[in-house]
Amino acid sequence: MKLDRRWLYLVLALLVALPLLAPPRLPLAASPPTRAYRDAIARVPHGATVLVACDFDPASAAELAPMARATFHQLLAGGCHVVVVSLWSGGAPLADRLLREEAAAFPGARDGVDYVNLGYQAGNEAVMARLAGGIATAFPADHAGRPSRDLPIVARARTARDVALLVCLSAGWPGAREWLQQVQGRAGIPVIAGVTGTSAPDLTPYLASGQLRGLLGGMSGAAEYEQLLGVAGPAARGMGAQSLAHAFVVLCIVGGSLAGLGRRRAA
Amino acid sequence: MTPHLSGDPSVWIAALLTLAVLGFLVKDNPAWRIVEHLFAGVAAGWFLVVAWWTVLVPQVVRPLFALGDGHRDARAIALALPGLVMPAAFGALLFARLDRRTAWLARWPLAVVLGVYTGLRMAGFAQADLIQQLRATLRPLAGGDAATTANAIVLVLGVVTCLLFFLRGREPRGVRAVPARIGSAFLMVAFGAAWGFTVMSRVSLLIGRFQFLLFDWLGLR
Repeated sequence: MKLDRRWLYLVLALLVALPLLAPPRLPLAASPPTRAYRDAIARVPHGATVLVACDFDPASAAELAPMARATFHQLLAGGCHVVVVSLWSGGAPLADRLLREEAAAFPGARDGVDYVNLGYQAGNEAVMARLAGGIATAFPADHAGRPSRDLPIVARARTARDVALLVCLSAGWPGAREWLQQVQGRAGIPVIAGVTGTSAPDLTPYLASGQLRGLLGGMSGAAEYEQLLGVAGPAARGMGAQSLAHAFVVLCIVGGSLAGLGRRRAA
Repeated sequence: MTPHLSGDPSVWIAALLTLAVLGFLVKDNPAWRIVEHLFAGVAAGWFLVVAWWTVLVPQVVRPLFALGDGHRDARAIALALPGLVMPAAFGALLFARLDRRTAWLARWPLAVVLGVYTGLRMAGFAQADLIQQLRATLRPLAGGDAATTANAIVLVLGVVTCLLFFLRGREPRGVRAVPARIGSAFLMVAFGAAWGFTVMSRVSLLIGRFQFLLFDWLGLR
């Protein structure tokens, strides 16, 4: 029997679309790395500066935008000063929109004083290394074109060493691994990361070694984090679709293996 | 659940382009091919504009114009000029490879780029990967609670047997082959976990597109 693969696509599309329209109630337990991510932000003192590296673009926004949104929410709610940077050209405008939308929920938060998006800077690891010499040196102007030196939030934290926590939201290279190599080891600041599902296994050894204080892996990590914060976000809403799609993939693997085995025996 | 279609033209464009791409799953079609070419063109244009406005304008063009605004003396200009012109000229040498006769000139800027990044990455790798990961692996097998001890034993067993799997000399037989087989099992588990995460990542992308189509475009809430 030959099955047209388009039937599989159709079933997968239905399994993704229907739970989005009517989300099923599925139990979702936060894993220790997700709790550690939340706790690392919660430990940052009120008024301290947190550097958030948004190294992703629209291609991975489905996984990382919910993490970024929830992270900005927790940071601003905790009274942290949020400095956003990006080494991916597509990351800066995306991060800008997410940051502004979250900041709008906190009327007291002022652009340039309590939060700022320093935008994109070309140079990958060279930019990370330059951060040790000064944030304004590595990012001379913010996303809106204002000189960084004139911004009160940058004046408070001149170099990477003045940062209380580094949050890496990354989809590949340069990303969390490069921030660990260039900044964590040299400046000695605590680092947490939110990464795509594809990158999560590569970063687990850094979690075990203590170089990473917390880790969100893929949409499930984002959903767990949203649940811990009590935020109704897109990741938690997508977990029903994610679970059903996974079950279908497992079913296809088992079914395909059994069919292959049967065909081999028949031959 | 009543639909509230978006009135934003950009949302409509994005939705129709998404449908054209998903249409490839049914069969190859002209709409998909148009979008494929459009994507490549837009991406190339995007990177060109970004490079112009975030690299060349702030780091070369504006500082050069600032030098000539009449507020600086000749000595200050002479000191600042090489720092602006030389990197730009060096970067421009990359285009020398467009002609076979001058292609060799492009090796100089490439050599600088490779040298700088090799130095940066080697130092970072030695610190964050080699030393820190070795330290994290060399942990006491006993002394903590039962779970910590079990974790440490599995870690050491996995590291040693995986290394033995990759040590290729004369093929071990019988009992001597067992450690390499255990290492192979560890690798399979690691690959399986990585594959599972990759599936989750790809499904997440599909969910992201469906969320956009259903919620942002059709307005189904």
